Amino acid sequence: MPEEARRKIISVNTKSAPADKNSKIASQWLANNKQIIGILVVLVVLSLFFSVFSDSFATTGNMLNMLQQLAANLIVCVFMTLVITTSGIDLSVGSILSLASALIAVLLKAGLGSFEAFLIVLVIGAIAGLINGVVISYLSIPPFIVTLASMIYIQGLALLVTGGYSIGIEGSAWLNAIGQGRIVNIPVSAIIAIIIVILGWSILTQTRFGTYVIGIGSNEESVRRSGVNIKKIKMLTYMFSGMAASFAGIVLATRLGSGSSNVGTGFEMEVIAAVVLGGTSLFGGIGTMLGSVFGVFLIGVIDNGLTLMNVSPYIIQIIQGSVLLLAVIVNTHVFSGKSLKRR
Amino acid sequence: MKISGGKMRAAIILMLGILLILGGCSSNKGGASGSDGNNKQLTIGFVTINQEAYFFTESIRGAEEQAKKMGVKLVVQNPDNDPVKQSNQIENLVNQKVDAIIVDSIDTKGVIPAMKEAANANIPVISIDAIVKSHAVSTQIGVDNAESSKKLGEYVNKYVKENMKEPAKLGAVGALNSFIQVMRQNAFLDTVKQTPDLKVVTIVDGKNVQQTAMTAAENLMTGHPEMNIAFASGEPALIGLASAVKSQHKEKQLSVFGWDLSKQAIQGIEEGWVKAVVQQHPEKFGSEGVSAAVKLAKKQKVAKTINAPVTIVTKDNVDQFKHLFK
Repeated sequence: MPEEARRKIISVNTKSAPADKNSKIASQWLANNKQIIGILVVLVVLSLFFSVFSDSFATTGNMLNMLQQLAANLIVCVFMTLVITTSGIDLSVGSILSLASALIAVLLKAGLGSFEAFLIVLVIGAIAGLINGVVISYLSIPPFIVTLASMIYIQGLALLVTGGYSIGIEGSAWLNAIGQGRIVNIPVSAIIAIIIVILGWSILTQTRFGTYVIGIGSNEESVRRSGVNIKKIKMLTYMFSGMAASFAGIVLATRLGSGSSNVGTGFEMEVIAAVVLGGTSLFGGIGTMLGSVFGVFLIGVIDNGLTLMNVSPYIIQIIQGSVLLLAVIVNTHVFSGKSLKRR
Repeated sequence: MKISGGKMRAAIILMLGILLILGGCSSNKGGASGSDGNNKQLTIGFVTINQEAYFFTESIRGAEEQAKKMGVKLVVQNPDNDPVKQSNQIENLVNQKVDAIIVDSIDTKGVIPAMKEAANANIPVISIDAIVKSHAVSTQIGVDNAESSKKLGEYVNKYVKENMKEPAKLGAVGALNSFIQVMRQNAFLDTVKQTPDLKVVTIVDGKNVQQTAMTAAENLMTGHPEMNIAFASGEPALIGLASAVKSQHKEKQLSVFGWDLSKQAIQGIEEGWVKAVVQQHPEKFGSEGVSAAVKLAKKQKVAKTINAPVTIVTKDNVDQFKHLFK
């Protein structure tokens, strides 16, 4: 426990730390980010393993494919990291993603222009997130139950707008490019995802907003007493999360060439698992954007590598789950040096 | 109790609001309330599998239209792929004393106890789509999934013999959480294995979700660049597979076969890389189900099994199906 407390204080005060000696900063960074290093090691070891056992794993084509497959997860994980760092959770992202994918198809079919449809979907995603945020912050209801409820009704909305059908998308060239396009062979969706990740990292580590997010997670009351409007900050994190999910929905829908309410099934769990795997604490106060990104890649690499190795689909999930469990154990006990005896 | 007057009032209003919402819903759905002797309107329960796949949506539409035509009331229940929920919904319909129950089973064995309850309450059970082997079922309306998949397999065998010079290497995108699709997959693979030199490279699991199937199909193509035939066992799997073919630019190299049409599948057939798709006529299940249910409820005789036809859609007859996916 003292270890954790110390890390919380350090992460809140990162900016005020004097930059006198580089080596000191480096060693402190290592101390603060043992979990990121842990997951990176697991990721590298697994990747090496798969490159040895599958000829097609370590190819440029496969890497770019994986980036494209993971773009939606990366986009959503950025804002999920912010939400979880405030000690919240957002279970509705999968449903918002389905709604967005369904809605963009329906709007385009109704004859709306690509740009209008795109904007409307983003705004609706933001509104869905805003409703979560308002209820959580201003009515003080636990985020788990609020977003669980919205997960259900938003999924219902997606079902309602599609009527259960999968609807083909005929958008303009730029809209289709979001999901399918490539610039110098790099998927457009991956480029967008990387930009959003960098943006999210800057928000968390370089802005006052980010400092408040971490502060709210570690000690909400003291942040409130220092005059910060914590309700607004919390509400905004859910709004961003909803907007990111709807954007990810557009990415997936334009990739598949169809919108359907079946698209986001299980998506929220993949993202939450990635964020927690990366070292962000479910109890709040500790958040790492880099860790979340590695978490997304870890889950993606396991899925991709096992398929390439021809593992039977009947046992693939057993291995996936076990490897994830092992990764968390390695992460928490080996790399962050928590001794088992202390508990 | 330290609840202020204002809060109390707000709470009462909220509670009333909730009751109002629930009341509004129940007036649409309702149970079987018919109390007036001979002329009572028949109520038919229909427990489907989900409302997200084209197949089920269409079967519901067919049932609703038929119900309207025959002047009976149709209560549709959606168990969302959950077999336990499905059994509960059947039991609820039994308690509501509906006149007949149409079931599209998720788990063809697990659903039997609930069906027996209905049969014991003298409520006829019509099983559509998936075949349930039980005395509780009064009428089975179904596509023989294994038999139809075998036909598709035979089509593939002929295709390979006539059109392919190099040995066939086949990859499959399945949905292992769907019993029916596993049945299709196995019947298909057993049939194509009759082709000499045909090698099944691997099977991947799309879990009946489009983007999961797409990722799995892409990884399948990456892992087996030599693959030249692909099979998908259902609608989400085939949509995922088709999107993967496009993203990996495999249109020239791959011949795709599968189940259940979609816009993407039709486009593939027109472009020539999707060779054949087994298409069922789901709206028929719904309409035939309702007419059988009404007859049974009126104690008339109905055949024990009614076979619903399937069509193998290829370039030659795809035009007939285009209007379905506008």
